[in-house]
Amino acid sequence: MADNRDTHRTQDLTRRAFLGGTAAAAATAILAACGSSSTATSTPAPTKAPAAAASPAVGAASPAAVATTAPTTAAAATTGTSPTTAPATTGSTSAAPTAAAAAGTPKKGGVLKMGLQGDPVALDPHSTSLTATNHIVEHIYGRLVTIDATLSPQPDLAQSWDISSDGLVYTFKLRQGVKFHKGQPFVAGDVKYSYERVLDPKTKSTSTAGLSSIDKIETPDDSTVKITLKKPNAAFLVGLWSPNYAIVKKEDVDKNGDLTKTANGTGPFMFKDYTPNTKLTLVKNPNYWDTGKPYLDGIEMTPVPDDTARSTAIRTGTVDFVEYAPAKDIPQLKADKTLTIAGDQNTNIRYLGFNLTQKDKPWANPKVRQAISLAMDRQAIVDAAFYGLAIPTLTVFPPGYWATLDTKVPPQDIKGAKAMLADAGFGSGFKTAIKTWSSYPFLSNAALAVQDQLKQIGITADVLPEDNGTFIADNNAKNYEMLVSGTSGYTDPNDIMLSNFGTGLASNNSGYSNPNFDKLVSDGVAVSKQDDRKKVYAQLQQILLADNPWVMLYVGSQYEAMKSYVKGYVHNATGTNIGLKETWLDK
Amino acid sequence: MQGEGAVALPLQAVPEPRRRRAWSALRRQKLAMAGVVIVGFFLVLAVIGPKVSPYDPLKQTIRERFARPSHAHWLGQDEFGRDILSRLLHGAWISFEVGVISVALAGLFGVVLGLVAGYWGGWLDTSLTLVMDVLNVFPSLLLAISLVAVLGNSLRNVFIAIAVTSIPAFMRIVRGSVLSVRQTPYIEAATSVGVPTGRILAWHVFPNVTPPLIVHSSLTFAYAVLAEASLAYLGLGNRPPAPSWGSMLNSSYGFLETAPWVSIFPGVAIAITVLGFNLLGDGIRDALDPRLR
Repeated sequence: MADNRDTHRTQDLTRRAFLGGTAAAAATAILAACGSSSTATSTPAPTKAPAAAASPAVGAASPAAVATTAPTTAAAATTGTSPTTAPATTGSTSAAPTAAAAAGTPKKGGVLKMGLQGDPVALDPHSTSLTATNHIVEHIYGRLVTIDATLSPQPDLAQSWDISSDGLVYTFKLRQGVKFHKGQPFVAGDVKYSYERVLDPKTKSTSTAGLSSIDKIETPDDSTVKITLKKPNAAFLVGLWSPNYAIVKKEDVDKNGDLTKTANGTGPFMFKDYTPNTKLTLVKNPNYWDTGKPYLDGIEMTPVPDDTARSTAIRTGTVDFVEYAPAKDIPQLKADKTLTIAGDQNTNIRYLGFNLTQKDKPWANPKVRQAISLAMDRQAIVDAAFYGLAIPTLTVFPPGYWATLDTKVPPQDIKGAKAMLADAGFGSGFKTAIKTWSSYPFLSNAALAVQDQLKQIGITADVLPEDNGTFIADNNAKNYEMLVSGTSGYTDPNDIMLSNFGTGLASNNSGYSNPNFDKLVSDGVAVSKQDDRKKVYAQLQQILLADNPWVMLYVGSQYEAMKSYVKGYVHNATGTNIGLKETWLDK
Repeated sequence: MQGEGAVALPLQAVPEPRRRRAWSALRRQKLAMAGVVIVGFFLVLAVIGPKVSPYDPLKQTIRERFARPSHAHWLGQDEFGRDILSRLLHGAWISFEVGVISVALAGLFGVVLGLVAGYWGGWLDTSLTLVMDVLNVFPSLLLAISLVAVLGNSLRNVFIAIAVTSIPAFMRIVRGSVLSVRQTPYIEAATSVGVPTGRILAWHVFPNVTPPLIVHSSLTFAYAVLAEASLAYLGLGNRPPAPSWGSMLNSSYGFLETAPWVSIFPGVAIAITVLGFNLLGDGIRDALDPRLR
């Protein structure tokens, strides 16, 4: 009997040990599984105002210059874990779109499997400016102009344009014979309707800024659109490339109420179907005006919001192409011989912002903000948030950009910061809270580094990471003390200056107001020569450096990773994937 | 052996105290003893860990990020260059805190509700059981997530969420034991001589439910540690940079390939602690179960 009992116990213990072990293993597995769902987000980057614009004169705007600075700076800055941005990539980004395409004769056919960073959720190009949505609709809808790799405007639905000598009247000659995917002809009235829909308050567009200078739109005939501006705006033309100024057909809106679930455009790809959080399919538009393009038969897009999962997906070949290849994995992805990586520094600015409407708080004092700026170790922030692959910055524009004020990012100056803080009357520090995006490690990690650096000058800050919806609501309602956030996707300096710092604008999240600044902003678009504009933007940046409504932290980078048989893709510094139109599969 | 037992019977008229008997039964189980050792180690770490941790768990040294385990940093450094060992030691206290507070909360409410429902029965029992059944319908982690989402993101609300999701099990265990004890003659006797109900519950009923309660508390402790880690992993509860094991795992699993030590150590800590409490709970159950003795 004793034997019996022992046997029983042994079995029991074995079962138990097994259960225990399984539980422990399952614990980790469950945690991992939960993680991916928690990071499911829809906006890849906190996009604010969409692209506004660069003047034709800006044509030579300079990702070339932007790009060349990148490797050097990165090299100087890197701390071992992160190799420098490969010059090869840089070359293909900036100078050699044709070289990339000429790497072989494009083959037609094949479906590209693409991993998206975010689920688009809604498809109406006018009512949403989420990057995740833009990255879908940019393939479906044509716009009057598009941009090339140097961010200069190129003909799209407008075959040519003429700008009056006073800079007020833009006359667009439209491409003939273009048809919407459902067969309707594209006419001038569609442009007028689309722009007026964006500006109609009922559409609740968050992207009105780029069209707000329009006084009237006339359509003398079906192939001509004449747009008159209220005052000259050098940033107007290139801004029309934005997916948020997509040309849509009125009857689609009338029929469906809005365009959230349907899409009928003139772009290279046609919308086929969409299962939320699962799959979105685009198929080739056989009647695309640019004959012969696109090369692909279609694109199958799957949202893979988790960074690690996205890296794994491209490495294992579950997909052929991923957007937002995570910075943390760039070294491994570059080392992988089966992959090609495109991209480098982009125009995304990451900053520490202050709520300046709270007049009684320490940060209402410019000296406090200056002290905080001095206390920042920006390279450490870049290392923590972007694995060394981004560029520390003092100003809102990336180094090398034509409008960028030449500044040198100083090393962290704790002593100077403390002295300045004491001078402002806060020598013993104060308490505050920093809100940030929980879904973007490149922001929440930056916030944690900022928190640590503020502690060094006696400022105790709580970091409050929030989900996208909460953060956007708090940001818009100015329900915060400080925040670590970002802005992206602009093509003209005016966009950043006006929408983020213009007095009284809803998009001005800090509540900054400086009449002198406002006047200079309008000067910046009133002149059209780039040299003249550059002087204005230099002054504007000096004002921001003195006032610090935002303490700038770094300029981000953005990468796409693809299997090496994916050819012809050209990275664009604004982060758009319009290069897929030229992409083909060599297999 | 049976013969011996029959002979020895008169000698055992005064039984060995139950507690000591349980302990010796427990000591005979190797795995349960492993549980005791693990739990003991965990408790010691949780209490003295924060005092002996070599570095400030929040101190960033970004220049030394992802440093491998070394003499200066035994378990290496994480993505902010923080010392992983120090973070683990402080994290042990957080896990301990969560375990103790949520088990105490759940136990308190579960026991009171169970006693009330089991002793009085009737509509009170029916409605309380119904409420607990409704709570039980939801997977407990899911319910905890929803509760934290509704109540707001703080450690206090994590305690509450974990406690609430653990109450039904406590309540059922106590209620079951009370139902069987209530029928016994000595309760009847106590009632008939006019002992106040409160005293009957506290002195005569409650002691009968302690063995299953101890077992269940140990298992719930394991659940609480795991639930806190899961919630922190999901970004709920402890906010970064607090060194909760779950949030350490959350922020580091992306580097499993490049810097495995950053995620492996917190993962192992969670797994071992949870395993320890489970083994201990199982062992106590067997030790207290007369059928297995």
